Amino acid sequence: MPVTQFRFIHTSDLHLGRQFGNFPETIRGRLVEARHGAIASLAAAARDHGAEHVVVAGDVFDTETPSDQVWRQAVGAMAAEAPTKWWIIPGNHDSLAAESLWEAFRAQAPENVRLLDQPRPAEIEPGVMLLPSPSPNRFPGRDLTEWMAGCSTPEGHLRIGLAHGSIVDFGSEYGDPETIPPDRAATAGLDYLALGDWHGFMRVGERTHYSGTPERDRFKHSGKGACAAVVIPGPGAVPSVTVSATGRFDWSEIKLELTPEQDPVEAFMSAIPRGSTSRRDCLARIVLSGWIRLPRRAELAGTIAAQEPEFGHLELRDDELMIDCMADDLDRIAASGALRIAADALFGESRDDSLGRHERAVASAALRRLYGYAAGSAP
Amino acid sequence: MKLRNIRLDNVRRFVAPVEIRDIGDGLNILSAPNEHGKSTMLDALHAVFFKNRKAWDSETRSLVPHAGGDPAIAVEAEFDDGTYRIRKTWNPRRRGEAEVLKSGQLVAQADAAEWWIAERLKSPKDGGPAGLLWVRQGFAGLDEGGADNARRNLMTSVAGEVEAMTGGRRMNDAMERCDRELGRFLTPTGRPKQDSPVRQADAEIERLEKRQAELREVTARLSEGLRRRRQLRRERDELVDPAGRQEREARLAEAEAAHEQARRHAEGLERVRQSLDNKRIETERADEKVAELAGRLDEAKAAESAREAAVRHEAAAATARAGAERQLKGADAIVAESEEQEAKSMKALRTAQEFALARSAGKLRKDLVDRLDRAAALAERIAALSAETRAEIRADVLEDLELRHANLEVLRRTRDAEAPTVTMTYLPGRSGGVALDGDPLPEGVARSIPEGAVLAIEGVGELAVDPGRRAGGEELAEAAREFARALASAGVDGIDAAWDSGRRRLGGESRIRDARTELEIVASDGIDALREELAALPAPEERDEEGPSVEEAEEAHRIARERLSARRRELEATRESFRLTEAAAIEAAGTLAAADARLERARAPLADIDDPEAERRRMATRATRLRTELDAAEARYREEKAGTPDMDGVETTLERARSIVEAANGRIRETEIELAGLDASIGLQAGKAVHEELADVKARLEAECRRRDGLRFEVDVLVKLRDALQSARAKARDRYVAPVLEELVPLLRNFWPEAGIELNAETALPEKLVRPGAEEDFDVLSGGTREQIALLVRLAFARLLMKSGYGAPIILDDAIVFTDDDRIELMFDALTRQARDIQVIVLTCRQKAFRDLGANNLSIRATGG
Repeated sequence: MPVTQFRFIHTSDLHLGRQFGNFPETIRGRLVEARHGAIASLAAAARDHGAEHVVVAGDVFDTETPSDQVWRQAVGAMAAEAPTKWWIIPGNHDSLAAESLWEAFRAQAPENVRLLDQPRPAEIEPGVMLLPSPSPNRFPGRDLTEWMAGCSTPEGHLRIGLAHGSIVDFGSEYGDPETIPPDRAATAGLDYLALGDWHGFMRVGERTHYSGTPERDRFKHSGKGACAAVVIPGPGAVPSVTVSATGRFDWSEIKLELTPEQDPVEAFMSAIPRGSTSRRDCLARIVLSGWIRLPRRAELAGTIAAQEPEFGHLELRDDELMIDCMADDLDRIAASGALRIAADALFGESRDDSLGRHERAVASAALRRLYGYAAGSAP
Repeated sequence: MKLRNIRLDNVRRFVAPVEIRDIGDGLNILSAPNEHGKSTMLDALHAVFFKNRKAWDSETRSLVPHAGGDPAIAVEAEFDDGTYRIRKTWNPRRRGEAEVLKSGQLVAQADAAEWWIAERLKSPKDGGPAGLLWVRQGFAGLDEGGADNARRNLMTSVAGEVEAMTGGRRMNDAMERCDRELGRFLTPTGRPKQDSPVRQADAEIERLEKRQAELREVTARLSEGLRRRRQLRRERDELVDPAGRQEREARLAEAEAAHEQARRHAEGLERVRQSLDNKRIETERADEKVAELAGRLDEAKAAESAREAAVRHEAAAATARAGAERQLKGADAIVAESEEQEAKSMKALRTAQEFALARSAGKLRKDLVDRLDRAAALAERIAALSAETRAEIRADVLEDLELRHANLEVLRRTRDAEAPTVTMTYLPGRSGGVALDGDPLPEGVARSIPEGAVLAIEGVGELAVDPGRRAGGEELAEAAREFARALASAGVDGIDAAWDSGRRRLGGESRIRDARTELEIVASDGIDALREELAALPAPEERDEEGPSVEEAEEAHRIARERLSARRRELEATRESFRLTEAAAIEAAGTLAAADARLERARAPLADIDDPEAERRRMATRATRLRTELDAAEARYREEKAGTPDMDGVETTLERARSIVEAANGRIRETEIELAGLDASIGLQAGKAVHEELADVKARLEAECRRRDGLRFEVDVLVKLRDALQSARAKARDRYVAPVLEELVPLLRNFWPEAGIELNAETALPEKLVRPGAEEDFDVLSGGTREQIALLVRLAFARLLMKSGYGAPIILDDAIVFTDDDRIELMFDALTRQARDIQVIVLTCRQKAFRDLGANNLSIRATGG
């Protein structure tokens, strides 16, 4: 029976069990908990979207051996969201090589949670065929969607592909055998190809999308995690895809390229999110580059230090930021005398190209510190 | 810079505007009682130059009068480029004003004005003191806090300058703070502290690395276990797959059936082979029997033939022997005849020889008689010759004479050569008439006269010439005597006679030798032996007849002897021939006996067979039949063998099929066991989230490494800063302490001749006053002395600044309090001398004491508004 319209949520890369060891203890637990909370968020998105199905394009778990607590609680959370149905394929992080995990998972999974561990079509709803490509191991070395082109399904049924992996580079004459051809949806006659692996939302074509992770986990992809809310009007019809926010934490990498004349505090303040409430769930990385005057560097450091407690996590990277120092900046350390001699020496070394990068950076930081002492402020 | 005018409005007690005008170039004095506003004036000056218009601290707040309002201060100052008016106000809102005007025109305001002021106060050389120098009213506390406090207060009075030099308090603060922060990481000796954050980070990193290694090992084991389990499961599934199992069993059954069939076929073939072997043996035996009988028959025939031949041969041999025997007897008779003839010829020969011997003995006797006669004649001759020869001079005697004669001749000739000579020369027409020793003396011939001479001259008489005695004469005479005695002994009268006798003796001896040689030939053994030989000859025999010829007899005997030899050789040949025929006859008899025996042996086996030939034919027929049967049996065997399956191949196939089944079953058991172990092992690890922990540890490790790197960077920064500060302070001291001392010492010596001063190495403040024979710590000096030194240090700074092209006003606020009247005069002198090119403003309440300073008097006056 031909389907008139099919709605579902497309997600991937939940990476449950990730520990975030490179973050401070203060935020680490919240990040872990937020990943678990993504299940409920996805279910809520499904309800909001009027969808009964959530297709997960791989990497539900961060490793092949998540703790019992992680996977059992994940199963429990999905079960709690019934009647929403979860269709899961293993990705490269939790491939089928994780036999123990998936055996136990299958044994514990309730009716509304289905593990698709074979590349064969599954009718997830009358008239809707899901063509899953589970990852057999971490590096399969082949295009796992190839089989979809040769897979026949009943006439008039929707064909939805589900896979985990990267798309072929269009600039390459010869495609990587592991990558998925971007025209797979067309060559396999798919109404929609749901992909996972890329942690941000990406539209590959009108019928092919990466959903991104429902909860961001790195600064590479700024913003909050989301899923793709998909509506397929009918067989052969172009699907409608909208991004539905699901993430709790807002990840921001703020790059500020400063000039000596610029007010860095103003630039910083205008770049960071406003409102102390939302900042609690914000992880920001401030990447400073360019040039800054010595007093303003101290001023900016003070401002950042003052703002930092409001954020879930705020880190500063100033490896590329150079100190521009005018004579009156040095006067503020000392107009004359020994302190001035020291300041002049440090300033000279910070600009001495014959020295190594590290030595120059050390001299620059020492000058900043001296300025801080002289100004009576924190370095 | 020189100050010209100071105006205060709403500053402390001066709620209404006041000002000090007409401040001169050199020495100025504002002398007024206490609480008159001098210090307010000084504070106002300090504030306008050094307090930012936005500053609202104790100093600026202290300027506000009780009634409130914003204090305002204005100063007119003269610089090289003109006179400027500087004005500032302060308020609690930190929005004070600042402006700089020149000739009523605004030059700078707000922050720009502040920057302008800072630039004007800065020393033209980096690091120099600021442009205002003063001694504040600080000595009042001298008696309150003891020496240290007094010193501190005193040094406070020069703090600006010293700080400008060494960084002073700010430098100390910076260094202390730097050291304090560095102290978290390093010990005072610069070694890393045990509990430093870097060490803690290192320890944490070490812990995380260790844990990471452990987890990697666990995860590697786990991954390997999972991989192995997948492999084993796949293998087990393939092994227990029913289709596979059925295939293996079918293959085994097929191999077993093939093996059974092959085995049965092999047994049948073996039977055929055994039958064939039996037939082959039977046939061979029949062939052997046929051959055996034929052989015996052939042997019997051959033996009969051989016997017949032996009989014939034996008869022929007997005939030959008889003939040979007859020939032998004939030969014997011929030889006997020849022997008889030879004996006869021998006898005739002997007779002829006897006759020849008798003839030979007579001839020999005659010859011996002749030789004996000749030998006797030779012996006689030898005896005669010997007698003659013995009378002549012997050879040795002759030789002696010859030697003596030769010697005498030499002596004589020597004498003659040395002897005088006479030579005659005749008158023309005469040719003689003079004789020498009786001999005519020829003309022109020199005649030696060794012994002298007598010259007979015809018609004249004789002339005797005596040569006189000469050397050698005696020797010659002695030699002549000896020679004469030798001649006499030899029996001769001169050498010539001696020579003749010698020759004769030699001829005689030669003839004797010839005779003796002949005698030797004739009678080699002597004459007596010859006589004995003659005596030994038989007496001569008398025969009448001549006798037969020996030669003929010998010829006849030779012929007889040769004939006898020929006959004997013929006899030997005949005898040998006979021996041969006799041996042949014996051999023929033996052959015949052997042939008889052979025939008997050949006939013996056939004795029981009635018809041996018929029997041989019968057996040959049977053998032929058996051969035909054997060929048929062999053909059958070959046929059977050609159809035999490859038993090795069949057995190998069966063995392999069994092995496959057994291996599969064994492998199933092994995989089940190994899988059970792996399931248990993986089950233990899988739920422990080792991968999660590994990822977590890895991330933590990265973060900790970053943190540790940051801490190390922090240490590098602090060390760099500390080093920079220490280096800068050392440089500052090197740059200013020595010049200050250079300026200070001449001023000091106005007060204390030959005095010197030591500055503290750290603070650069005065530490010791050094006078001849005494070295006094600054702290134990009297208040007046310390006060004077402080002021002189200030003046030295001012002189230093002025030399550098930047004159700074000196402001003294009650700076001379403890100085006595004598010293104050010296101080006035010093001030006056410095004020020649430096502006000095003295604020004092000691109106009387400073009356004679001789300075430009200043006063604080209210302004018009």
